[in-house]
Amino acid sequence: MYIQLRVFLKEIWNAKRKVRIYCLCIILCIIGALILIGCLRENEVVVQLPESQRTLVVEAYLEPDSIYRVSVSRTQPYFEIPNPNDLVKLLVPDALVTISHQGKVDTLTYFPPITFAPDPRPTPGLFYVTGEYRLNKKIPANFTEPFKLNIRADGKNITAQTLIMPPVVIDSLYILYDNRQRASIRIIWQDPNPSKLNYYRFIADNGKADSLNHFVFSDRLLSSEKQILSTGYNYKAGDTVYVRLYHITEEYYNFYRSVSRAISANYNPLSEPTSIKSNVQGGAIGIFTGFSQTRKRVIIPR
Amino acid sequence: MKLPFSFLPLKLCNLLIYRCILIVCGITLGEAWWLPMSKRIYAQKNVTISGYIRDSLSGENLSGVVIQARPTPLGAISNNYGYYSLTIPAGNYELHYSSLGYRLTKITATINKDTVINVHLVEEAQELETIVIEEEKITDIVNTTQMSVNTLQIETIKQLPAIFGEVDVLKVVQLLPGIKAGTEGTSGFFVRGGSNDQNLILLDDAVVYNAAHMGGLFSVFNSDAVKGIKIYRGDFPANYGGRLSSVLDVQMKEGNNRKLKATGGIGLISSRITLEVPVQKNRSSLLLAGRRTYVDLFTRLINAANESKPNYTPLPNYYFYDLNLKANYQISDRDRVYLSGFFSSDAITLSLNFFSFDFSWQNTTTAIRWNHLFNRKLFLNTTAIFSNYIYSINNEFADLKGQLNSKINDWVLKLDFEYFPSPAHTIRLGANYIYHTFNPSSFNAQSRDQSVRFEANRRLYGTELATYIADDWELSERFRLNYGLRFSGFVAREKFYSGAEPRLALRYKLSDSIAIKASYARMYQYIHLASSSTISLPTDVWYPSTNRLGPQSSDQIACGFSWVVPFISNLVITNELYYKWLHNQIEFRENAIIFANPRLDEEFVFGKGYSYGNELLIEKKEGKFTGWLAYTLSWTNRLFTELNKGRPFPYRYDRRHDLSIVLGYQVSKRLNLSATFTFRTGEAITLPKSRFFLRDIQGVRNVVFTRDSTGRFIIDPGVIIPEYQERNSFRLPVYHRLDLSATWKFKPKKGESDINISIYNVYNRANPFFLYFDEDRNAQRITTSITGRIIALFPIIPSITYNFKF
Repeated sequence: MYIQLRVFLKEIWNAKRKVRIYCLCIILCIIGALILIGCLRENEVVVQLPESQRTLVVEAYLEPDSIYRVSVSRTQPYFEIPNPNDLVKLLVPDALVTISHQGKVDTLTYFPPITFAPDPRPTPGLFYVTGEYRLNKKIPANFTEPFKLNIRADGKNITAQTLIMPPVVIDSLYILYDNRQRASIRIIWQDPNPSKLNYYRFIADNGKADSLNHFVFSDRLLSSEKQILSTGYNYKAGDTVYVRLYHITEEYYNFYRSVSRAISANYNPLSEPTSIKSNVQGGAIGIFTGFSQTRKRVIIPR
Repeated sequence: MKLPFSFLPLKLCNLLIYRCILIVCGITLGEAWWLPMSKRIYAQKNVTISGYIRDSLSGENLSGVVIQARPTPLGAISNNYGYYSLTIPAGNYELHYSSLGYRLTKITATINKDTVINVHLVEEAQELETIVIEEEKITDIVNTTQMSVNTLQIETIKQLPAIFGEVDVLKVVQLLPGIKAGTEGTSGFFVRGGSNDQNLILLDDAVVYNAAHMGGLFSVFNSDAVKGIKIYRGDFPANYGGRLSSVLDVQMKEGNNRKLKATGGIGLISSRITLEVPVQKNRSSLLLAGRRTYVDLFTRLINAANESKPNYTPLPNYYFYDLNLKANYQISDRDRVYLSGFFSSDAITLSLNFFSFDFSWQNTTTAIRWNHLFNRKLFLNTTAIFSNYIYSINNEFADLKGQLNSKINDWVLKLDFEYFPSPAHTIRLGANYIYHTFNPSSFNAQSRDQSVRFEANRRLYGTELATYIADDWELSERFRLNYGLRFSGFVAREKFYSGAEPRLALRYKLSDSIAIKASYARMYQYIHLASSSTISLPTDVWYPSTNRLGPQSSDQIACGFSWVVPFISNLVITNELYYKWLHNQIEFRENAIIFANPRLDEEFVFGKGYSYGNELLIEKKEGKFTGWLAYTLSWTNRLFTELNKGRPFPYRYDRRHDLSIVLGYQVSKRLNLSATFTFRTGEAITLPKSRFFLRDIQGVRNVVFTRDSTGRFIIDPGVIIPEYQERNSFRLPVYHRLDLSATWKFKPKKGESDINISIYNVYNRANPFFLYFDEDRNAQRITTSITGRIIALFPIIPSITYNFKF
């Protein structure tokens, strides 16, 4: 092969000047192309989307000791950019929202938006914005009997049903460090119901956007009685980290997965877009679910 | 569904069944039954001419060579091993042996008894300067009943432009009619509306389960080790089965049995070398070929150079290589054995101080074939095959260790008889047995103290059985029939699936230059590829039929014509219309759980599909100016009760128009130019119609108070969620691209060498790869507009490859 190469190089050298220039051009072209590769090109494109109907969107999360809160809004055409102050118009203020539990039916009242209310259990930097139906009554810690939701709006009768999942007990929590002294938090807890699949949502953050750890998962692959979860090495000494573990329903797990997939389908060329997996019946999309959370506050030691 | 048998005269059907029974009896009882039937054609004593046809220089077997006994119209075609057998009345003949790329060889002989004539054909390229087309070659395309097939020699493939200069058999296949390329740059292909896993990819009879390197960017076939390919997209011969949409038969070179040869090349991405060793002259030879990439050499260097930097994140190392081995030995005139081996491997490794990731995937195939001639009319090929595909991911994160792997293993035994009772009949029959072992997902992870463990494991088995018989019958000079039946079965867990697969092809010759053809084929597929993505990934898992998951099947009819245009030499026009029904198609249900899920059969939904269209191919295979034009007009839809609200939706690769033009021009003995142009309708994609805000549970979002221009607080409505409704109801813009290449042959003192310059995407078209919506926000982080943006992958890419042979 060495001889071949030498012959090849000699050939080029002996070739006429014209050919030599030609060869040089090719080499320059290749270098140029290699620079071009690697930078993806983007073009703007005009897409015509067909008219779409405005469907009702329902969101309600039941957690023991909180109050009943249900939000009812509508979808909007994908390209519709309302004035930020007109976002209110997406909310549905004239619905009849009832929740029944143990045979007792309660009607919720509408609270208009732009009334800021601090979180009942404040976390630094975290607030919520209202514009929802509320009932000022504590949700009982009843994990066996269902809660039923009924909404009458836009001539539709929307129904949904859920159970509240019991809380789990975090056995142990410890901090791991990498060689750059960044910290990761690990929690271990007992499988609350080994005979069945359990679903969880886990959130850990120190109030900064880049440190949020967020997972939704099931224990379908778990073969031991203990379940484990670690955050990334996102924290440093002195950080106060709030760790929250939610024990959630299968329906919420499916809903949440479908929502995450819908978001990622827009940016991931390899994923197949799918529809939202709702658990509300009667022509709306959304979720009505109950869960319990287990919270821990961790201060990373200096 | 109405079977297309209805348009056949009933009489013919009866005759077919009668003949089938006769053939079976005939083979078991001897030939005596045949005589009364052939009497009307041949009154004289019949003799058989047989032999092997090989290349004069390398000794490689030549298949598809047309043998004609002039002045009669009687003829034969050499089989995959170069063997032919022709039974004709005793007499004087001028035997013509012709094949594309080879000089027409004529032998005048008086044949009074059974004779063996082994022929060595001389390559045409060796005497290009003095090319004179003495006579029109006999074109098999008008004679054969076979339709919906294309054959390509590796020499043709090598001259075409290639991305990054890597010659890729599968990329050339995508330029043929009825075959659609997948995502740009990948080597996946979609035949007549079928999905990627419905292609049976064979390398010397062994199934290659994942024919892709680098996530589909390159195929695993090393161009120096390949002799040629044949792809069937319909009218499947009865000896093939197990996949619905196509059979891609890749043949490996046998190796030069006359002299030692080395072939190789140096390219931008990889280099390759092939050695051909004659072990015993004219009797046995050995071929060894290897190819490897160099990307990892550079990444290693970069990583080593930056090791000392404190905040440096190392680049992952990636490499692939493949090895081919082929040996053959001629034991006697009647027996020859072949051994083919293939191994390909890809690996990505990344290791950081607390995290390591090791991902590799491998294909292995081994085939041992034994050709045996019982007598001049009966040829047997026995094959034993082992095929394997495996991927594994090893992951370490602090004190947690995880491993995920998946495997498919096949043991295959095949018997294929070819029987040439008379020139009017060629009978093929055989049986095959495949034992599959699947390990769709084996996952385990544990902490160092073992207190926490995750596990998923499932092993599945399946036995695939098939037997077939087919007869190619020349009823008259004009009318020819190829009819056959394949019976296949699959033993799954607690369930047995089976099916009869009739195959039928008819040819009616209007004249010596034009023939009309029609065909019908039914296929069954018992194993399925669970692909979670729109491109072929190494993590795609093969899954057998189970209690829940039945076999896929298809029915296909096609009709068309082949016309050898008389006034332009070597120009052939073929046109085919087809309709294909796909039954029991599988897709993942929406939001299926795929990762490490050994019970994937619970995640599938079932539906059907149909595809129809017209395929035109204008082809010129010989002369200074060669090439083809392929245009496909087609429609492909799927219908699933659980997808798209039960409404039919277009298949992702449903392309209304698909045009490929391939041109080659031999400027001089040393310079060869070629160009390919493709134009196709954009892919069908799903876009959101509407969107909504998700408020989520309390305290999840970091709500930042923003004020608008008047200083008022603005509501943060939540996360924007797109709502996808109708599947594949939008189209990406059209795709078109021109590639050019030039090959310059050097004249070194010894051997041959050339340099190939390829330019991919000459006019730098930004072909759509992916469309997404981007939100433009102002300083207050308020969305002001939404813009659709298209990402294009490959700009103009010139490349250069140096090839040598000595």
